[in-house]
Amino acid sequence: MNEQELTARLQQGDQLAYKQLVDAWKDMVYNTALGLVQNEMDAEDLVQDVFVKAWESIGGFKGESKLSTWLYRITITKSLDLLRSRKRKKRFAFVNSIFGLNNELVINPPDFLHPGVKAENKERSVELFKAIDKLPQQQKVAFVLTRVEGLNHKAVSEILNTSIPAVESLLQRARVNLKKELEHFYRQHL
Amino acid sequence: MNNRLSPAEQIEATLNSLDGIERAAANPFLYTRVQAKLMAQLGPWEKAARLLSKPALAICIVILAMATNLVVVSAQKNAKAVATAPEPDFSSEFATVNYAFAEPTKPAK
Repeated sequence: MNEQELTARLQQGDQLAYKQLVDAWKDMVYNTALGLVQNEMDAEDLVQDVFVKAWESIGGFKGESKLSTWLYRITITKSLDLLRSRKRKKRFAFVNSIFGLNNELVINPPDFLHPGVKAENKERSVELFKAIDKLPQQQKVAFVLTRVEGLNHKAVSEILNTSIPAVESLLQRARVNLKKELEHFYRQHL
Repeated sequence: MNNRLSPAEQIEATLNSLDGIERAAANPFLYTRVQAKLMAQLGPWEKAARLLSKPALAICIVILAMATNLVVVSAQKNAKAVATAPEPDFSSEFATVNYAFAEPTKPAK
């Protein structure tokens, strides 16, 4: 079944086509979400949300982009929403701790280890993911899509709805910022 | 981590630590979970409609309805067959038919 047929069947509410969509793209969605939110449980919840959203809004999909591009966009939007809400919660917890409004223990998340990283790179990748987490949103998305998901610049530009030079610029700035962050880390730890 | 490298080399090695990364695999039972989430989001009428549209359940309901109809129809037939005694009508029971009122008698002068 090609993408057009799949889309048409999805728009008719075909459950079998929906299962096919989930099975074909679940790893792609999970890997992208995992790279962005850096937490396996959150990523799993996000993947479910992405496919629920896809089912609900497939009627509005006009086929102007590929299904995968459309799913990437939903994944990115959902992941960034989660990161924003996490930041809000953190800020709220910080304000509460200043005013002593609650005595809840704020636990820092454990170091993130991507399951697909090569064994010899695992230790280094933990520091890299910490640095990625501090990047501005657009740079983070561009970096994760190219380095974690392995997409080329053209595919990233289609997902972000921008030009290829704009993606290259985002990646260049991301690399500069990551270097700065890692310099800071190694100055403290070497 | 190799600490004998210079800071610049350490940074470069860390930046390249995602080389050869493999795609992480999602939960193999994801579809079932997505279905459960979709069901949880539906309203009570939509849930009922989805449930009823399942062939096994729909066939069971049809068979049950037909069986109930058969039972009711046969029960009605049996009820007609039982002879019932005619009810006495109101007039005969209370003797209101052929009842003659006595003429008032005039007092003797």
